[in-house]
Amino acid sequence: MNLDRKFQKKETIASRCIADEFFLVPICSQPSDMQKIFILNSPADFIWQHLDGEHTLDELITAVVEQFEVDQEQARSDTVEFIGQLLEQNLLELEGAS
Amino acid sequence: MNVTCGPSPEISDEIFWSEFSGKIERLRIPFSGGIALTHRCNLHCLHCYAREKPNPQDNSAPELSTGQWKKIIDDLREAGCLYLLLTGGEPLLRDDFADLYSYTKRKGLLITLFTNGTLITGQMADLFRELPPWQIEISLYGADAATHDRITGVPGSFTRSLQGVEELAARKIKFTLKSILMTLNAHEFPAIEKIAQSYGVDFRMDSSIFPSLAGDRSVLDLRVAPEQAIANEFADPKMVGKWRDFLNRFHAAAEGEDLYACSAGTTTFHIDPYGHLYPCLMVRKLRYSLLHGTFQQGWNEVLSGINETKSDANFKCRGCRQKLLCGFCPGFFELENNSDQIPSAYLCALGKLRFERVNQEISGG
Repeated sequence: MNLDRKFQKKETIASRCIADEFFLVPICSQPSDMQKIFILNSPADFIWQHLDGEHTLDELITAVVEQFEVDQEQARSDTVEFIGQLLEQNLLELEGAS
Repeated sequence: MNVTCGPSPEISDEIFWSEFSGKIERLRIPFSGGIALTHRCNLHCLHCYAREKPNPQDNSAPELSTGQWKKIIDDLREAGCLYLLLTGGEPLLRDDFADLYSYTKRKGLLITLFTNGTLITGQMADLFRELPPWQIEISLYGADAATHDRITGVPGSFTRSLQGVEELAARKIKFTLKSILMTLNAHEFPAIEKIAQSYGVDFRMDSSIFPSLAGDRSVLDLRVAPEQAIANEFADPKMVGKWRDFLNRFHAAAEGEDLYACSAGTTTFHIDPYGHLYPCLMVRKLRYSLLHGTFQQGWNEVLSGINETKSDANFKCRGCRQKLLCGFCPGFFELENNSDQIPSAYLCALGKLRFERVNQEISGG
């Protein structure tokens, strides 16, 4: 995955924090099954909050390294994998793609 | 670091939801609730608990405005509500229903809608396709117009409800058909279930008719005998397993001195069309007017009292082994017997029969 890319949360998703747990709730109809919500753990929520269309993937990985004190390689691997999941679930789009 | 984003269809992620349920209970977060947008209805069902306005003063009270409901929905979101039931009366009678529905959806709440289906037009179904509800439940009281319309009191209502169902089915919108078992329709239940099967949707029955919120007990005459209710219920071979799982999961809830061992006022709530906040639809003794304060104030200052309500030392349900199988509900008791500490004889009978049935099946009898 190109690390210069910028990603943006889709406006069709609402994020909720309830009792310190993070949920992604699809608002609009999805191509896949609508009857599901997504539960994010703390690192996943950190990444989700930073997907603002302004920061590159590379900058995001750096922020993950600083926040969770993990090495660069693991942060890159986990972040890229997670973003792949979000794209697969249609929760994310490339900045400028909409 | 472990980054996860697991899709969680309902409660399939048992470990997360089990721990989370305990957490929201300890923190007393209103995770799930219902709002009755109106008590008006275009049908006049014989068994309806909202046929008359529950409180005499509501006869002159206006329903909450669009702006007032939106403020409450904002407050619910802030307080941690995820699952919200929109009910009535018939909620689609509100001119601003589409506006309120869309607003609630865009706030990230998961909506369940209870409706009679008669007002689901193509335009309304398009809205549900664009902004899908978590669930829609449509009431059908008979397998044909004669029975259904007799119960609803409105000729043509059976046809109109099924037209609404057709609009949903044509757009592949998920819904459930449900019915209340009563003397007037018990003979038609297999046929009603077949209608659900023809659409490939779930069917749910309920046999627990209770007095109207205004205190009318005449509706209790519509109840079928407990033996018949249980026979209908266990016609579904999956029911034994469902009750057994329920027993295993909630057996601890039958212990203790708290009268309200359920989620009412702890993680659930109900709001009526006039802005009164209650622990649930049934429990009317704790009430807070949202016209005079915020949801959070009512939740913290009034509904918290539910946890202080203890059962009497001679309360018949204390230690009862069938408590988890009867539909135990002090709010139901209050409506039926004017006391939340006097059990409903009807529910007792249902519990006893279910207990026998589940044990019989488990022991291979």
